[in-house]
Amino acid sequence: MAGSIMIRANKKGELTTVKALIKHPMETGLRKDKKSGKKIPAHFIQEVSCKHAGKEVMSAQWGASVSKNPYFTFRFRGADKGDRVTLTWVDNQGGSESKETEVA
Amino acid sequence: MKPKAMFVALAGIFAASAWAVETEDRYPRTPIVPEQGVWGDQGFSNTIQYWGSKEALNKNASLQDDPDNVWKLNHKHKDGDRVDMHPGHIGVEEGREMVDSWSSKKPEFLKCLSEGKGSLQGLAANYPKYDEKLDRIMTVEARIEHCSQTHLPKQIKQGSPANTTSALYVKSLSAGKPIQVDLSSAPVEQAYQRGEKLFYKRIGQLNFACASCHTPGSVMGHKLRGEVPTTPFGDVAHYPTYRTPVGELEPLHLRFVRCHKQMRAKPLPPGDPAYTDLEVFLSVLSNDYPISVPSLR
Repeated sequence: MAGSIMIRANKKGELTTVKALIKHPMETGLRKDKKSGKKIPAHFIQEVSCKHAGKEVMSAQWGASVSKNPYFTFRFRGADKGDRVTLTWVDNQGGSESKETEVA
Repeated sequence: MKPKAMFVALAGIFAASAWAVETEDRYPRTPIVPEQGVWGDQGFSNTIQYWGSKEALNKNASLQDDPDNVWKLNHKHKDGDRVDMHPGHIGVEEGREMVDSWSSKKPEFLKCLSEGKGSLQGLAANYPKYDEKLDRIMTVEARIEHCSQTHLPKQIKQGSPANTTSALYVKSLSAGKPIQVDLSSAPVEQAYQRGEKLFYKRIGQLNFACASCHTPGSVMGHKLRGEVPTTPFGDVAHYPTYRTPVGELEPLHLRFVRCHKQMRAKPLPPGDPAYTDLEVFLSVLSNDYPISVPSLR
């Protein structure tokens, strides 16, 4: 797993199941640093989207309540084996990352 | 009346303490044949005591030949390959980065960790083992602690997150390889004997031993609050593991610490010789069981 996303897409019948694990601290901005007593700045994923053949098949708005290192899964129709699926996330500090995988 | 009541109370305390001494070894010592390794489990969990009734025993015996449902036999069979994406995999990647950066700075570290072989592939399956040079039993975590102490600027202590993560990586390189602890070496055999004693030793305010919940005839296999205590066989194969209730990676020795706190006993520091002996005992009971790291519990 180079980078922060671990992704797999499997087709069974009509449905393609995409599973993803994202490595991210997901700080709420409410926690305090025990040593310095200062608040740890908020750092969480705000947008997650998944594209297949140029078309967005899933998009989600996330907030601070999502856990650290979030795992999520969803299903969609219309993909064939060998197609490429791209997952992208954007966080509140402007960071983003995307990863592509092949439907198996 | 008062002195008399006090006398009765005192007598009660003495009677209770005498009873405690008497019952220290009251748990029937279940015959465990160390040479059988994980196959000794069959005499443990294929019993009516474990399943509660003959019907349940027969029903669950049929699950053994069913690869999709065999995990229902015991929670420990629910290994990492069933849940293919969990934070344990992130831990493996972090461990790989750590070990790679340490060994690129200091090649001697990798040499020490792999005992001169240069590759860590499949090495963890033979741990814990006896090290002649150091004259003590080494676990994977202890090896990392020792090698970091001798070759790195800073010692990576057992129980620290860095030690756990790198141990997870080292063990993941042996994933799928059956555990083979060498019982023929005398120090390992002695550690096994000591570990077996500790397994039956009652300690703490609640006067519990490991055997109180993990031998046939105890609550093993029955409901204990929301859980079912398992047999001690094959249980160490998935450590260090990602613990969902804690949200962290947990090595075996920190699991012992957690057990001791729940038994209202004073925990020992990770890497203590007593914990190492217990690990040897449990690893011998997991001989022939494949290492399943990273895993989720």
